[in-house]
Formats: sequence, structure tokens, C-alpha cells
Amino acid sequence: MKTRQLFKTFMVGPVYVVELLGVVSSLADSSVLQELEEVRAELRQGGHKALVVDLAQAAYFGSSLLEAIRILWKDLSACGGRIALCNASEVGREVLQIAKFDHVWPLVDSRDEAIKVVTA
Amino acid sequence: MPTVLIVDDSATDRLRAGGLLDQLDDFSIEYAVDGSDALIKMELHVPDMVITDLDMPELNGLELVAVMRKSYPIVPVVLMTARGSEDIAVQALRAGAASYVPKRLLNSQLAETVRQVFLVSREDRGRIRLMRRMAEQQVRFDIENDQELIASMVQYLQHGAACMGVCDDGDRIRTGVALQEALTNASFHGNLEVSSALREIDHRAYYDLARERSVLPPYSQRRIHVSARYSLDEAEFCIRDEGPGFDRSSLPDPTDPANLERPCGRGLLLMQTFMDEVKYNVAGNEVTMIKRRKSPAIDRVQGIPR
Repeated sequence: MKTRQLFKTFMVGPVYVVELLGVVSSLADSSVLQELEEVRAELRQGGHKALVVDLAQAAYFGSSLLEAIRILWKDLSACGGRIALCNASEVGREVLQIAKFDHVWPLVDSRDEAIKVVTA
Repeated sequence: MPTVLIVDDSATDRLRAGGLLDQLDDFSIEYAVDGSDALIKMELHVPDMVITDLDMPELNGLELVAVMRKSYPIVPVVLMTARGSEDIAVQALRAGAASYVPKRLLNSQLAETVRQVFLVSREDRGRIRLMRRMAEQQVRFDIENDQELIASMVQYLQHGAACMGVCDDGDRIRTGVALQEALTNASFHGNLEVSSALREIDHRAYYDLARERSVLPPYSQRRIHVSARYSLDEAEFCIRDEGPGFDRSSLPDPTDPANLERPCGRGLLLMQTFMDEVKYNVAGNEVTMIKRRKSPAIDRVQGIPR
């Protein structure tokens, strides 16, 4: 398990889980961008093909977090991997729906469900 | 005379705390045997302060703090903590309790703590009563392209809308998301002139360029001008940057499935969706966003519909 300022990462079986630890208001903060790059490197180096993003602790988010997840999704898609999101707040769900990302990123209520989605 | 409600399921501790405060002659003391009993008593008469035990069978101190935060936000709560309840006390303080006194130190600390909390709460109460009578407020800021300032600005502005009663909790957060997007646009695309097209190619280069320009004239000298006007019916936010402006029609539709992998336009979409009205000036460097009250206005003094 690796805990950073905003992204906690750990494995659940074959699934690489990224848990948001707070609100990502901007990727402009170099430490946030650095953390994102670390997560990308871990994904790539581990050859992981199943990713769950747990949003339970992000009370809300906007386009910056969407951008971060989009970057991870692109990396993952390039190697045939799968992504699922879970535990979004009411406003978080709305943000994903408005941006239409709920069409391409399965969004479920719990981490267990998300793990099932990406390992099915 | 201010009233203090003492809540404890132990009659001995209840009367002990009451006895200590009785000596002050400054307060009228009332008692409740647990959290549920306290809420019943508060329906009949709202006290000026509540002193509560944490560990009680019916509605414990932590649950009582949570209910009071919602229903009686201006009544301060002081906790009486026994050995072993420190973790719950920390949770209660985070949930809004004003202070705490260990039970073993009641004799030496309770009266002084109550007196101090009461003095502070009287000032808070006066300010809150005054704020409830505010009919309109206008504020204006000129800020640098500083992400920390922008984050604080978002918090401040959404708090203002909530204080005026324009937004409930959910809409306060939606307003915050829209403000964050508008301020980020003003900073990055407006003042620093970094383009989404670059982010599409290389997001690191995009943020590196923004960082470079944030200390490089003329970009670094540009400010974001923010004004907000709050009334009982709406909150209006105007955000202007000093950049050359942009043409919204040039942006791709971010909801088009073909554009989902592209990083452009989502901020504007969120602003449009979460605000009731969004308009831009001709130059494209100023956005005005309005959030209107959804529920009928409440007389915030009497707590009844206007």
C-alpha cells in the first residue's frame, strides 16, 4: 500500500485500486501532478490491467479529477485494461453523468462491485 | 439569566456538574437524563448552552452533537469526558462541540470552561443574528493566478451563497464546482494563455507552461477580478481575466462520444449545468454566473416562509 497526499494505491488480488483521499481541485499543483505520474508509472510497471478508482472521500470534484481519471483510462485502454469507479457522492455522480463519462466508465456503489466489474 | 442544560445518565455526575455551576449564580440550570430527553427539553426551551456526557444509553453525546449542529447550530456544546472516551471526544469536537472537560477535573475546570465558551458563543450568536438580517451583500477581489488563493476563493464564495440561504448543501457544492471551473479557466486559459490543445498533446507540458508563465510578465502581472452579489433570492458571480478572451464556439462538444478522450470544454459544461444562468461578454474574458434560490425564501429571523 502506498499513501500519498491525494492518491492511496493498493492491490486487491489482481486489481489495482486508487483511493482518492480528498478533493482534487487542480492538477496545476506540482505535487498532485507528481502523484498522478507515480500512479501511472505503477500501473505501467506492474502491467496492471484492472483499475478501480474509489471516490468515497472526494465529496465533490470537477474537470481536474475527470482529467486525471481520463489520463489513467487512456493508459489502461492502450494495453486492453478495464476501469471502474465506485462510491461517488451525489454531486460526483452528476459530474460524471454531465460529462457522459458514466457511459464509458462503469460507476457502481461499492468497491466490491467495482472489483467484480473489472475482473469479470 | 442564561440557561445551561446538563445531560448525563448518571444522576451523581449530573448533580455534581449542576452544583458546580450553581455556585456561579450566573446561570439557570436544567437537567436531562440522556440525549433523547435533552432534545425533548430543547423543544420546549432552547438553552444557551448544553453540557453533555458522551457515554449514554439513549442518544449518546456524539449523536446529540450531530443533531444539535443541524437543529440548534448556535447553541454551544461542552463535553464531559471519562477516561477511555478520548477518541469519541475528538470525533465530537470535529462534529462541532465547543470544548470538553475531563470528568476527573470537573471541580477545577468546569465553571471556567463554561464561562469562556459562553462569552465566545455570545459574540458568535450576535454575529449570526445580525447576518440573518442581511438583505444584500457585495464583495470584490482582485487575485493573482495562485491555485491556493483560487481554492480559498471558491470556499469563500460558496459559503456566502449558503449563508444568505440561496443554496442548500447540495447546491452549495454544485456552485463551488462551477466557481472552481470558472476561476481555473480565467487563470489558465485567460491570464496564462495556455491552451487545451497543448493539454491534449501532453498534459505535463500544459502544466509546465502554466507554471513558467505564472512568474513571467506579462502573464504574471495579470489578475483575476472577482465580484459577487448576494441577495435573498440569488447569488451572482462575475469573473474576469486580463487575457485576450476566447471564442466558446471553437470548443468541441465534450459530450460527443468522439470527444470523450479529449480534455476540452468540460469545465464550461459543468458551469452551464450547475448554475441557473451563465453569460459571457463579447471579448470572451468575463463570465457572469447566477445561482437562484430553488426553495421558497424563508424569513431567516423567524424561520418561516417569507
